[in-house]
Formats: sequence, structure tokens, C-alpha cells
Amino acid sequence: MKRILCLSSALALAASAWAASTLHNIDQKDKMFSQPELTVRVGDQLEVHNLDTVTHSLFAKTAEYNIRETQAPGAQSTFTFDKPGSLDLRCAIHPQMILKITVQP
Amino acid sequence: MRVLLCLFSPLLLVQPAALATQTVDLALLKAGYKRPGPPPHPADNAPSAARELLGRTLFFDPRLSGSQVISCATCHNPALSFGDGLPRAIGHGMKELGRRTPTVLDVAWSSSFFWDGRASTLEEQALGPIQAPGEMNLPLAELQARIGKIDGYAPLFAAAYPGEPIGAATIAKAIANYERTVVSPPNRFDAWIAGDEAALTEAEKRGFLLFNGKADCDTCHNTWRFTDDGFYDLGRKDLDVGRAAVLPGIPEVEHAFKTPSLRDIDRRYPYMHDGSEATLASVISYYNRGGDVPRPSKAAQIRPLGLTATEQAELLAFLGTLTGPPVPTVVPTLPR
Repeated sequence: MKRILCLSSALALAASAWAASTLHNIDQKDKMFSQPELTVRVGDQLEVHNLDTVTHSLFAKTAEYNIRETQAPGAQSTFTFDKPGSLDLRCAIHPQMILKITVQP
Repeated sequence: MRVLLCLFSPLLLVQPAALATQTVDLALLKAGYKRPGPPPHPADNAPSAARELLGRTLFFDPRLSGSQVISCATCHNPALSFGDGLPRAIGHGMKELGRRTPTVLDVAWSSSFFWDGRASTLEEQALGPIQAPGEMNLPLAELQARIGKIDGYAPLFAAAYPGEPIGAATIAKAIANYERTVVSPPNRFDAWIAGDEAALTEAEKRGFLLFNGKADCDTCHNTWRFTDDGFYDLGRKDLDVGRAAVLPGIPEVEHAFKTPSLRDIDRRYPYMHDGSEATLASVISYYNRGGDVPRPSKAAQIRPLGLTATEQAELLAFLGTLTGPPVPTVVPTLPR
């Protein structure tokens, strides 16, 4: 019985953790991000879609994150946030593209 | 598992944008080239007559260089559409630099500065060439001391930035403030965009459609400034790594240079970041053959275009509509 309870509580914890994480979507269109800022929580994921006809070159470098991703037209990339902090996700080719991300605990 | 699938399946429905234009909506296309309102500015450097005067005075003052013979206007000459008309700039000691002088026209709307984008604000940019040993060769400490000793500058700074000291920060703000007033004049293309159908010939209008269609120029040269402020490797025969020196380790920006504006382009020859193309016709020919050097960093849009001689002539005719009457510039009397 105890084993069953433990298993069910573990499942409940896992379910609650899974339910708490969120998948965020950001588009790149006309060489801009669809929004300038994004607040996420640790465990959340971000999908970035390139809806442009040109390549984008995403990067962010902080103590917590080191992102480098080339995105051909039509491609999408998924990032997972595993540490709290803040970062600017930028395109190396199009400097006006800056997505300010805050990762909350 | 079924729940997971149900939750995530909508994400699979995200489709990439249509990559090809099937039909041209001319009104929509033209709307993308409409001139904007007044130049934007940062909150701490709003435009004013006093700031414009101070900035213009500093811009023309050769004492901002180590040799005291080079001013900002030496290379960014208003009589040459705020460029110098040379293939590559001439700096301190009359030594040739590696890149062509970019124009100051319309820089208020730029999102980064220099051919490699190493400055992200106009204020930051303004101090770069002054300090650069190969350009104006004047350390900031000397700049501050020198300008501070010129009595005639004190009232100009006091009027422009009351309560702020004469120093690198206010010098940069003033020059940037003036540069934001340097806006390209309305040209025949602007008149056509504003509704004057007779402003362009039929050949020029066909050139516009080629520019936005078969020639694919608008992928990078778009909006009223004819630039996306992006950085691309055009496949030039050139060892200059461009933006990769600013962002090392990012292969896409190797040999990449900023897309220049095309406004006043007729007057701003020679062309490309190194001034290696003498005429617009040769630039069109270069793009038509799809560049010279194939390499991984070369932008995908640089590919053989298959433009006929007539189409190239129409494209050239269209580009000729982007030059307006010269901007009158009042040369200031320098304080002594």
C-alpha cells in the first residue's frame, strides 16, 4: 500500500511539474521577433519559428545560457530554460531583432 | 500519450511563410516604401536647435582630430551626399583605410553603425572614428581637454546640454543629435509613392517591379531607406571578414557587411563596402551573375538572377529615381 502511495505521489508531482511548464511560441517575421520581451519560468520551453525568406542566426551568451542556432527560412528551433536569469536572444544578421527573456525560478 | 499528442499537435500545424509571391499587390508594395515622420531619437537626447548647432559645429571642426586637419565632414562631406566619393576612406597621415566611407544620410533610423555594426547607437558611433588611430587619431582625454579650452564652445554646450559637463558624452550626444537631422531629400520615387503617377516613366516603374521581383533586391534593400540594416556575405573577392570580427564564431556573418541605403545612390559612387564597383551598372551585373566567390557564408539570395540587358537597364533607370536635390547644409563658423 505504501509503495502504491509513493508511486502515486511521485506521479502527481511529475504531473504537476509537467503541467506547470509552458511552451512559448515566438515568430520571426519581417526580420523582427513577434514580441520584444518574454517572461518564462525554469522548465519552460520556447519555440522560435522563422517565417521569413532569409536565414536568421540566433545567439545569446550569458553566464547561464550559450545559445547558437542557424535558422533557414521556414525552420523552427526549441530552447529549454533550465536556470533562472535574463538573456537577450538576438539575430547576428539582423541586429534590430532582440528578444529580452526573463527566466524566473 | 494521447493527451500529449493532442496537446502538441497544434504546434505541428505551424507553417512557414509562403516563400514566393504569386501576384504583386502594387498598392501594398508601394506602402512599404512610404517616407516616415520625423527622425526618432533616444529619450536623453531629444532634438533642439541648440543641440543641432553644437553638433553641426563639432562635425565640421578639424580640431576633433589629432592632426587638427580632419573633421567628421572631411569624410562625410555634405557636398558628396555625406560621403567622400572615394573607394576607401583616407585617414590619419593620409593613409587609406580598408573600407568605403558610409553616408550619414538617414542614420537616425539605423539600428547599428559601421559596415560591421560594431556600434549600436549613434552616440557610440560618433566617438569611434575620433579615437581610432587610423582615422582621426585623437584620444578622448585629449579631445575633452582641447574642446574645453576653446572659450567659444562653452556657451554652445551650456545652451545645448545645460548642467552637463563638456566632455566625451556631450560631444557624442551633440554630434549624434546633428546627424539625426541629416535626412535624404524627397526624390522622384517618393513623389510616385505619394501618388504622383507621372513622377516615374514606365521603364522606371518596370524597374521597381524587377527590384521587388525577379532581381530580388528588396530582400535586403527594403523600406523607404532601401536597407534592412542586415549583414550579408555577398561573395566578394575580399579577405575582410566584416561582421565576424565583431561576432566571432558565428559562421553566417563571415565576410558580411551592412546593407547600405540606396537613397542618393546615383551620387554615392563608387560602390560596395570597399568601393570596388565603379558604377551602378557594374553592381547590377555583379548581382546578376550571383557573386564571385562561393563559400558557406554567402547569402542564399546572392544567386544568378537571369536578368536580360533590358531588365538591367530598367533596374538602373529605377535606381536613378532615388536621388533627390542636394541637401543645403550651412557650414558653421567655428568657435575660437
